[in-house]
Amino acid sequence: MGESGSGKTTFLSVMAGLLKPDSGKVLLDGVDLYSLSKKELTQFRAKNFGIIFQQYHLLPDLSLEENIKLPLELLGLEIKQEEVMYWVEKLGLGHRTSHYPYQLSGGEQQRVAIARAMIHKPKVIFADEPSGSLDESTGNSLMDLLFKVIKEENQKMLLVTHNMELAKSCDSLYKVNEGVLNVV
Amino acid sequence: MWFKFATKNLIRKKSYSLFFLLNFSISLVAIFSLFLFQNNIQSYIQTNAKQILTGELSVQARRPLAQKELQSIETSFANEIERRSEQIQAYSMAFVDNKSRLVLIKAVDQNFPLFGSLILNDKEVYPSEKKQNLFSDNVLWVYPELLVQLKLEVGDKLKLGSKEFVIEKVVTKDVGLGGFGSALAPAVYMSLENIKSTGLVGFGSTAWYTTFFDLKNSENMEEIQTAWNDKLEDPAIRVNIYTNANQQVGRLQNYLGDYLGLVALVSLLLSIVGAYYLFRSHLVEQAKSIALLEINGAGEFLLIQIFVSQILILSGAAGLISLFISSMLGQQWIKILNLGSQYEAVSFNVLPALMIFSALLLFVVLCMLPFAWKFIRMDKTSSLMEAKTWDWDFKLKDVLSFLPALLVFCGLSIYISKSYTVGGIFLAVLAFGFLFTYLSYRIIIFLSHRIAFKSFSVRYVFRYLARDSFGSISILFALGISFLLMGLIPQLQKSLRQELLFPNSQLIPDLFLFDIQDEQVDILKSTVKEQEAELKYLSAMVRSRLMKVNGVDFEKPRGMETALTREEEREKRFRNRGFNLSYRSSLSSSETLLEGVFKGEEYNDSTSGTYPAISIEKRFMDRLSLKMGDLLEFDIGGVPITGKIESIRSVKWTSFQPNFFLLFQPGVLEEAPKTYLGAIGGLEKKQKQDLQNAIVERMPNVSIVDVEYLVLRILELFEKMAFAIEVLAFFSFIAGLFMVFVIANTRAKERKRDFLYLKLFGAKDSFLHSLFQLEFFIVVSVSFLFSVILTFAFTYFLVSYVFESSLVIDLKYPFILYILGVGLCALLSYLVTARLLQKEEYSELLSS
Repeated sequence: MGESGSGKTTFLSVMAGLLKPDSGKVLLDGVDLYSLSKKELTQFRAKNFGIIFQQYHLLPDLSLEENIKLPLELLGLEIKQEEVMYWVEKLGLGHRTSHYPYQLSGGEQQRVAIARAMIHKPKVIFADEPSGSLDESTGNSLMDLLFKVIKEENQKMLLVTHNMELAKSCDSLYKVNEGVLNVV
Repeated sequence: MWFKFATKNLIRKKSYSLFFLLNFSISLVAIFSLFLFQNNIQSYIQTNAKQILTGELSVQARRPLAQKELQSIETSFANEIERRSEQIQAYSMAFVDNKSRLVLIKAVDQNFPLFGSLILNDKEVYPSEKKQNLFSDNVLWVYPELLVQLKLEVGDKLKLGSKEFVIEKVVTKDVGLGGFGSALAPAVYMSLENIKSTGLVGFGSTAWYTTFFDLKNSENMEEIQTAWNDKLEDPAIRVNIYTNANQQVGRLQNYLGDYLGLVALVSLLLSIVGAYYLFRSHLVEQAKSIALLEINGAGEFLLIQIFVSQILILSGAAGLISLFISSMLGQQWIKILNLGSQYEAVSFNVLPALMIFSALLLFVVLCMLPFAWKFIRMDKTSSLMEAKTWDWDFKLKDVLSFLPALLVFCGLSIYISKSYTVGGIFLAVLAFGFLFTYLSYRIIIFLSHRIAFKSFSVRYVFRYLARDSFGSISILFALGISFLLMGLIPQLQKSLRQELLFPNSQLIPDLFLFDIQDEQVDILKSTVKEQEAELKYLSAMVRSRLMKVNGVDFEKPRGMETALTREEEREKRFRNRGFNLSYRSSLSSSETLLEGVFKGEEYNDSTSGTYPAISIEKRFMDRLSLKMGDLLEFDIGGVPITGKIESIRSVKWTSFQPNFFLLFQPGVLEEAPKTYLGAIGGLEKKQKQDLQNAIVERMPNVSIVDVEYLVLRILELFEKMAFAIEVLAFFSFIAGLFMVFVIANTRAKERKRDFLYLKLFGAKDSFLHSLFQLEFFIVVSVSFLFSVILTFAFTYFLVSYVFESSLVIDLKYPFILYILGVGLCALLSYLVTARLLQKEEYSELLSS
């Protein structure tokens, strides 16, 4: 959690392997992310992390289904259709598999983004204000769904938000204040 | 305020401004350098018009002027004439020992030239103070080519007709000698007295009799020309004035300039398409700023002012840069075309350059305005609140707003080509190009929606190409038209070379003979037979004057300057001449009947109908606006003869057989004064020379054209023109490639986030490079395919209908072009993606 400009998104970027810190290390299973080469980091990040953005960022040229299986395609992993459909159903998108992003509502797009972040079974999910672009009711139901899925799939998630209610649903709560991370 | 905003915005948007500037500079350099090239030639001709004509006014005919006509000139214009000079030009064979060659004789009097001069081999100038011997008996001056062709030197002897001459000097330059006639046969100079004693000038010889005049008052030449034309009513007498000198010498350059202009116009069109893409992207980038201006009270007019001033600043700057570069390149065109150093020293007028510059600026603004207008009417304020998708779909109303620009472009095409036909064909090719582009794009959409490609890359690329309709159509069009331009001329060259040098049939003769007198036919036949050859296609030729069409006087044209198009110029030229008639009982192998019935039987007025039948060549008929059933009245040696057009033929002129625009039914012209044309084919090289020598020895007045030499000269000329067009086409190709680069770069910027995403999900750099490469490969391949279809279709059209020849397909050159296109586009796409992939700005994806 944190105020606007406090550095919470920067923290998430550093943790997710998107922004090299000025000092210090980020370790996952003993691997120092920033000691890897650019190529290795790209592969490591793609395999181990799933990222959910505030602006959904679906690829406009791919259908809902194709957006979901994108990480599998790019990582060269086996694509099991039943697994794709599992995620489609789980997130309540069964009736829209062949639709393109411009044909989906904001909530639906974000649900696709959640499925896409999780389909390759990453070790950590990073979520950057996932409901920030949605209205309150859609945002709330999306977050309920996200927490439910994380729990069911036994996943770990690092969530950045400034919504206290939302933050309370998390197991641990940290606050970034002027670039300093504090346990709440 | 708005101007300050506009300029500051351009300074801030450096990349947009730079690309816009470069994009236009390339095509404007092509247009301006061409304009300066044409301007150089026109300025040269205007400055040297009197020297080119060698007088201020000339009267020319294929016969000496009649006493009555001379008297008419004397009584009407004697007070206006300062000086005059007589000249006879005729083709004849020059021969020495066992060698002979067709030459163009220029027989002149002591006053030649009234204006201008000849440059001689010893750097002397004629006329000069020093006494020169051209008017002595048996003296000949010759062009240097003749010495080479006949292996002669100054001082050697040369026979022309029945007289032997001594070559006294070599003429290295004669400004007044231009046109293809002089390229066909080298010129020789002699006195009028000398030509009379050769026996070459008389009935049946192909000669032009010209009198040049130096007038006391040479203003209002058009009026003077009209007055002279009124006194010399025979349409076969040509009155030329120096102010129309460009019609005589600059014709080839004019045509070349017209075609080059069209190619330059293509590069402008490609730049406009590139500019559209840049401008659209610029507008979207500026959306928030514009929305803020709107919120603060900026009206539509103010916004239009901002956009128009930005376009004017950028295209104006591009124009100035191009004008500077072109002023250097304009000279290069003269060198590239090997037109002669005389054109190089001429400076150009600033005023017409500024006029064309202003017209182009107006055109660019007209092209861009619909985009700006569409954007102004879009809702921009919502972009301040949320990420916005811009709907650039053009409805019918939006498409109509492009109409003014389209009309200007059509007008420019016709103005530059100076021909409704050529301009129309050019526009039709572009329209077909666009249609093909659109069809290609529809195929891409079909493939992307209907085929489930297994490969993610292929699927992704097809989807992207289908979604970005404007970008995809623009790139397909630019590459397709560039390929078409680059491929068309070589394809045309290949067909014509094949047609002229290696004809399928053995129709093309080795020697073409003219000026054969009636009484020489039998001697000629036996001479040819002695050399074991055969005289073919012997055809009578009767000189005539067309007097009336359907009972109405066939009018002599007045002044060339009133001709607006090349078609009108041609029609006037055709009207302003005598006509060669012939007759035959059946069509030759080079003729095809198109309409009506060809009457080959003897005409008999009691059984055949009221008028003898005339068969007319199709294009000749069109140029003179004649039609089936027209009655044509000719004056043949003072006897009026009327015929009726009863059939229309096409003629394969490249067969080099004796052919005529007008053929009478047999039984009408047999008794008229006539000469013959003939051809001899199937000769070995040595046999050809021996036969030529034998004919010249027995019949020195018979002129012989070496068809192989003629074909090579025609090809040389064609290739020279083709080379110039190719050079400019390459310019358009570069403009097309630059446009592709501009679009690719803009597209890459627009897809930056998509690429970051793909990377985030594990896509390697090489994969992203391959996406772009694949995209270009598909676009290049599709556009190449449509350009090849269009190239072959258009070449077929030109070869069949314009040159009446057959299409020869050359796949080697298109293949090289394709490889070049793929290679260059692969390089472009690599450069674009490499720039994009250098920066991994993931922070863009995250919330602030």
